[in-house]
Amino acid sequence: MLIDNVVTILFCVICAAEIILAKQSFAYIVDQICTRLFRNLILILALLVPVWAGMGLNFSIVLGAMAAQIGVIFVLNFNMSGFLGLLAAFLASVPLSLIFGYMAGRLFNRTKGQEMITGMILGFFSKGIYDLVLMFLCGPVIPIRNKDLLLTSGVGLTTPITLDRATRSAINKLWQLPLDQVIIVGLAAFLAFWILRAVIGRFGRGERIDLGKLRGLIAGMLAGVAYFALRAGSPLFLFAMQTTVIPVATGIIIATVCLYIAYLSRTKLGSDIAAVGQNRAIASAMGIKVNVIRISAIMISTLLAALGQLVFIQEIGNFTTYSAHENVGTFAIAALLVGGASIKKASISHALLGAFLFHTMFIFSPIAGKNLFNDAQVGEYFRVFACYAVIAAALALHAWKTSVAQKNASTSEEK
Amino acid sequence: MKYAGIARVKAGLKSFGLPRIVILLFILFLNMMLFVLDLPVALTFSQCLVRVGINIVLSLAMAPCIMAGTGMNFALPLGIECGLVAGMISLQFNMTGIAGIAAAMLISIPFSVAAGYAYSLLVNRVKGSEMMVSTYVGFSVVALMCIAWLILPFSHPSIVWPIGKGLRTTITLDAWYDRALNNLWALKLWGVDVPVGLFLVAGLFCLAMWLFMRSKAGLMMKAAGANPKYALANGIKVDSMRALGTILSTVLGGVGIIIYAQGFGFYQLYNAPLMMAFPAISAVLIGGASPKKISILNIVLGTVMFQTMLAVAVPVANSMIPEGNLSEVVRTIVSNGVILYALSRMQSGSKE
Repeated sequence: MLIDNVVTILFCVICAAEIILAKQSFAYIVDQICTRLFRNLILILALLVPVWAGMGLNFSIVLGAMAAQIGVIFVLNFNMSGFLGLLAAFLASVPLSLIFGYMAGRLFNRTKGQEMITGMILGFFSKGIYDLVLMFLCGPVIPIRNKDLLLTSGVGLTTPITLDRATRSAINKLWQLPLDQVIIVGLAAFLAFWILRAVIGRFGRGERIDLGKLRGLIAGMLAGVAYFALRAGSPLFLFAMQTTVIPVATGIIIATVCLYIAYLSRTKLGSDIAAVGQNRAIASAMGIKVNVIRISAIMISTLLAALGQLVFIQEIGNFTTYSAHENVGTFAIAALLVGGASIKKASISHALLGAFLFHTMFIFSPIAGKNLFNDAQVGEYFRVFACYAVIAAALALHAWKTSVAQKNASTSEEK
Repeated sequence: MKYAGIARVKAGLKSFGLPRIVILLFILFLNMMLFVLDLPVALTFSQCLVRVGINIVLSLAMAPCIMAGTGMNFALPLGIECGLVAGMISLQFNMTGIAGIAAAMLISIPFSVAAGYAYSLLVNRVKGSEMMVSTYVGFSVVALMCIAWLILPFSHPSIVWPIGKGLRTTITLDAWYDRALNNLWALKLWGVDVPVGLFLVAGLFCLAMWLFMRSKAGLMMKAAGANPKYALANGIKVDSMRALGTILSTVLGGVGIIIYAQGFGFYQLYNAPLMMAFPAISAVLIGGASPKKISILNIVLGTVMFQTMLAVAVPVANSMIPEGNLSEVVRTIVSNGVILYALSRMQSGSKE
């Protein structure tokens, strides 16, 4: 139990230490964490389905990020902008990401058991192809109408690519509310849901009121009381809650993705994916087309990654044409693992917790490094190290457990 | 009769592998372009020879790991970092010339053995996922060493930043042993500089590895890698063999980076070693190695092919398309494409 959560616990400690060392205002902390959560969550959620399918952590979500970037370049080329422009960019990235996902899935079916290393190398390989197309073919071979996108020589796209004012944060700006309001409305909706449930249970089905069944209501009430107490007691807290602005529209997209993933796990496809993840041989004997299911899992993941990268790009407002996708896979995977996921098991709550902890570390490492060593660089290297080390540790722990389990299985067979 | 001949040619081509044919044709094409575009042929070939010489020991580092059955050593940066630490020590104490290079190599060995042994403990616990774990162990070590370069107590004014703290990102070796091996007994043949000294050293390492492969320990290591259960039944300590392979590979990585650095004329610290395993891996794969089987011929042939391609691609690409870095893009595609191909072949041969 403890060993399973050691990474998460360690990260809690690191985050707490860094927040203390960074000496930043509470409002700044809340604002930064919220911004990063809304920016990165979909990319992390995109990893879940391949884990269920037993394909490990999908390092090839980089392909989805590339699809999104090509989509954005596509709409900029036709001078579309604003929210509709982003919508068009997403629509353009859908077929691309599905094709990329299909091809990655085909490749993974040839390298069963080594999907992760294949996915990682595939990411590097696709970067080469992506660079070739954008750096040398755009201009001379692929006509680009919008000359602002091209380098002055006429060959290759410029970097970084910047979104115009109307497109920048267009999804985020659709509907923004202070965090305070979002929490109050959220709490109210949560309580209303549980009260409605209790009322329907009592009067609709004539059940007796059972406190055990109403733990959600109680938890919600306690949270509400705690929130209002903090709000009333600490002006600092109130200030932070009121000044932090939440992009509600982006939140709705994230919630939709969560609901889709939760819904997927209850469908036929979802149970097939789980069966394939459990044991390919048995799934195949049950008549499940294992290879097809595996390809679908990667296609879903790549499509979600494209959506995630689009949300990411619109929030930042620009992207470095040739490198914005490079670390997408590594960061998302490290975040998911920090949340307590493993190669075999990952859930939405792992993604949420991981995003929170990982990005807290990411924000405060340089500031803490500066305050501790008088050098921000140390903190920056530390966060990169933490990122790689988390992945290495998770992979090693998983491999170790598997080999111990195999050894135990083989010795018990001999007995 | 005629059909049999064709079938034999087909089988021969198949075992040679499609990517290898494509790369060979590509190299031929590049060499033709060198003459067509009237580029400095002798200079390019000189660079090509140097590149082969300075990369071969890094490629050689793949051999012990593949023999011992731990697959391609993606954790090569571990050895490289040990070599860099030794290199920095040699610079700090003003060791110059060939003696300086030799000293740096010797200093690197204890570091590499210690790091390789520690890492082998991990390798023996993650059987089956060595490649993925090793990649991220390599990355973590590079990131950790980035912090170390900032805080280690080096003080030689030419290797630390004049203002601020930490070692420089790139350290030119002019004052120590810049190209000392390249220039040792160098010959000029038809305008091409032949770095004889460099080749002798590289050849010595190849010979040593060739002898090791045929020694008792080498054969035991190969047996442990090829069929661990069978080897165990025959009294071979599989885990010790895997550890030995990892340590040897790490040592070669450390020595390799010193030869590489003197050939280029500078040490590159911080993030530079991050991706250094990949060219070495691609090279041996192009030469015909697989994650399970390797020979000295694979290593030499692969390094010659891969480095020739890179050395010739740079001037050709630059004169054909001056914008951007086409040769870098070609390198990325070829090097990773070859690794992907090898991974996809690996499965079809083994289980399932």
